[in-house]
Amino acid sequence: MKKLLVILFLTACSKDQISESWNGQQSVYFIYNTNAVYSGGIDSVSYTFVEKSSTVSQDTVWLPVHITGNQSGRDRAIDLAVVANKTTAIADVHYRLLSYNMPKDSFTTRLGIVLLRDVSLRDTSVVLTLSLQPGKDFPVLMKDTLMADGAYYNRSQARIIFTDRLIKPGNWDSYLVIFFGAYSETKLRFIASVLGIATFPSEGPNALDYPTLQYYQNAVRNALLAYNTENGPLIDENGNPVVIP
Amino acid sequence: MKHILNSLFLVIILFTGCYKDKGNYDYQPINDITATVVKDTFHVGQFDTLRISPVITGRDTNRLSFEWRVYPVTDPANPLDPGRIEVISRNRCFNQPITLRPATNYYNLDFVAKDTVTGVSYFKHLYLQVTTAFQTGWMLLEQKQSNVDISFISPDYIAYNSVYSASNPTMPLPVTARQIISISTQSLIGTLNMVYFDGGGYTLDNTSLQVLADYTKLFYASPAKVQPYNMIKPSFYSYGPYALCGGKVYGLNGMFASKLFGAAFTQPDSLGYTAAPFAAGGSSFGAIFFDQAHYRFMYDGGGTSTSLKVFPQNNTMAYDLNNVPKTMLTMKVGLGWELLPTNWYAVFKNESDDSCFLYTLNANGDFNTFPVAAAQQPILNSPDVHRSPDYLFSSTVKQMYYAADNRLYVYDMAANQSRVIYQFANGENITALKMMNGVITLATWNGQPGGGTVYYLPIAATGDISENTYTQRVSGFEKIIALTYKVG
Repeated sequence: MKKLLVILFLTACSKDQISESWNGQQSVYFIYNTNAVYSGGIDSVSYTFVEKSSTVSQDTVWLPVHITGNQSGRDRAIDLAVVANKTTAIADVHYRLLSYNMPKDSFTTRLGIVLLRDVSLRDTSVVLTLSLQPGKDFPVLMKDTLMADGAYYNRSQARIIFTDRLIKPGNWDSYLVIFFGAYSETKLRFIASVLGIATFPSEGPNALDYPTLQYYQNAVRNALLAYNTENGPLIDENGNPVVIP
Repeated sequence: MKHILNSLFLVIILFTGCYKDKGNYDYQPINDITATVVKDTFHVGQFDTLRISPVITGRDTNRLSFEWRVYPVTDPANPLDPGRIEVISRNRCFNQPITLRPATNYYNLDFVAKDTVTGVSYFKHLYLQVTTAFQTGWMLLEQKQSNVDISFISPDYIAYNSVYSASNPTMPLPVTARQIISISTQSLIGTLNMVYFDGGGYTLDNTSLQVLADYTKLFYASPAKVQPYNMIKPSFYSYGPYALCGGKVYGLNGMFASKLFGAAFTQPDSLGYTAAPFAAGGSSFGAIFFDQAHYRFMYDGGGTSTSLKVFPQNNTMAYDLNNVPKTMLTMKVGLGWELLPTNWYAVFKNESDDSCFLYTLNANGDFNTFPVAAAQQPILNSPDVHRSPDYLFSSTVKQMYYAADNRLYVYDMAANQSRVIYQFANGENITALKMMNGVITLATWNGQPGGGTVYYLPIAATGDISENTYTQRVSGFEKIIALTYKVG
């Protein structure tokens, strides 16, 4: 017993050798937007072409990724694949993937997904589910982590939900009609192309005040005048000229 | 045994019931604290020392801690900042320099005495106004040999030279600086002080004249052509103020709590418009502008409209509002009640010669009994009227003041002639003039370094200079090209 105590005391005096660096397993994972918990889920990105100019035929959505483990002195390939059974978007019709890598000496980068403004998006929204794959440079996936929405994610999957479909704002007839007049889809699409927004909340934390809507009205009216001068009157889907009061 | 224990327990409980409460139930007067200060409102210049010695009474004034709290302390770059409470001293008597930002409004100043035993705080509510020399007075835009600067004259006629460059050493004014404006916007953004130059402008802090922001920050989106010339709120019937920039009209809807100017007002028709940098306004037409490109008057569409309108064709009035083929030199308020003047005057010049014309607008009028196009006449017997650096109008009589070279003239509208009412020495020419509260404040320059002077000339009931002399003279400036009175 006494011998055992002596051994224990001596062990307590040994110096702990801590490594000056840490070399964990190399993996790459998506950085989710926790603010999106109420808008499609934190693993999802929503995108609409509606708020883009009519001349925009494609756009790029950027998905941020991070790595575990150390940086590298060389670019490292990131393998990204489409999850077919969770995807309704069609390759080269609705989207195009690029080749991806983690730049040397970096912990983070963004993966650009090219979204194509196909005419079919005017009637529907499509889903593109992407998955990070184990590969030569990043051989393992992250383990499940409890995220802000109370669910577990391994952060290797991300969804992009995109559309070009217009939705008539619910407050149009009760409020927006003061600023923009009678509703038509053509008018809303024109408004969205000028202002870059297609919703105009009049209640809640993001409610727009009267002067801001007045400014929007004025800006759209001026843009419509310029459009009409250059192209002739803008006619809506009902055959009526678009007018901003 | 169990019986003995139960008996013992009962005895203990009974004895406990006889325990004498030794609590203190005497009622003592509380330590009620009262602070008395000689007055409840204090005015102090920024960086001057404020001294307040409150007389404190109470049962025990030695166990107090103190705080001097001031609020609201706001961020000057954010006019909507509600402000925070700041403790500026923890001494019993206040005796220190005030570094708070000067402001028109009063700060609340609370003297707080806290009883460290009971934790009860006692408040004495006071008011504090912090001022600077540059809060109220004349701002002068000076053209120097190699730069432009802003100087200042306080209400007690003390000159402060080169205030702008002292406040903004790394941000010199462009040599194209041409106008300074100080306007109460009657909106959430309060008083705006601005300097305009070719292609832009700055907003200036109301007390230090430090640059606050670029002119374009006043707008939701930068104007297509940034060329500021004027800002005016012509009547309380208009939703302005209006910014006249690059030939376009922009409005700030102060009545609906806007803090930014909107998009350019929509043109009245397919012709478009190029607004002269002036505006008139009244109860019938909140704001009237002149389309210099098409020689016609236009008006704000009324209410919260952001469109301009042209006047209907009407040949029964003194002139055709849609056909004034001349160059507008000015348009300002004149004769009438200050809040609702019936006479706005526009001075025009022929494009082919130097002949000038006076047009009268009644913005409270209509197209029949009280015509909006009220009168017009050529300006006769008025030498060099087209060359005046500015035009001033009396609110009590039908007279206009103008200047040319070293002479100050009054133009009698009824007699349709002008006369010299003051003459400076040969070579000392008038470079800028303004009228306020019956006094013409004008700047002269004799062409020499330091040869700029500001004179204060009170107007008599006849329209002449009272006693034919100035009441004050402040000299030592360079060439003053614009001046404006600012109220802090």
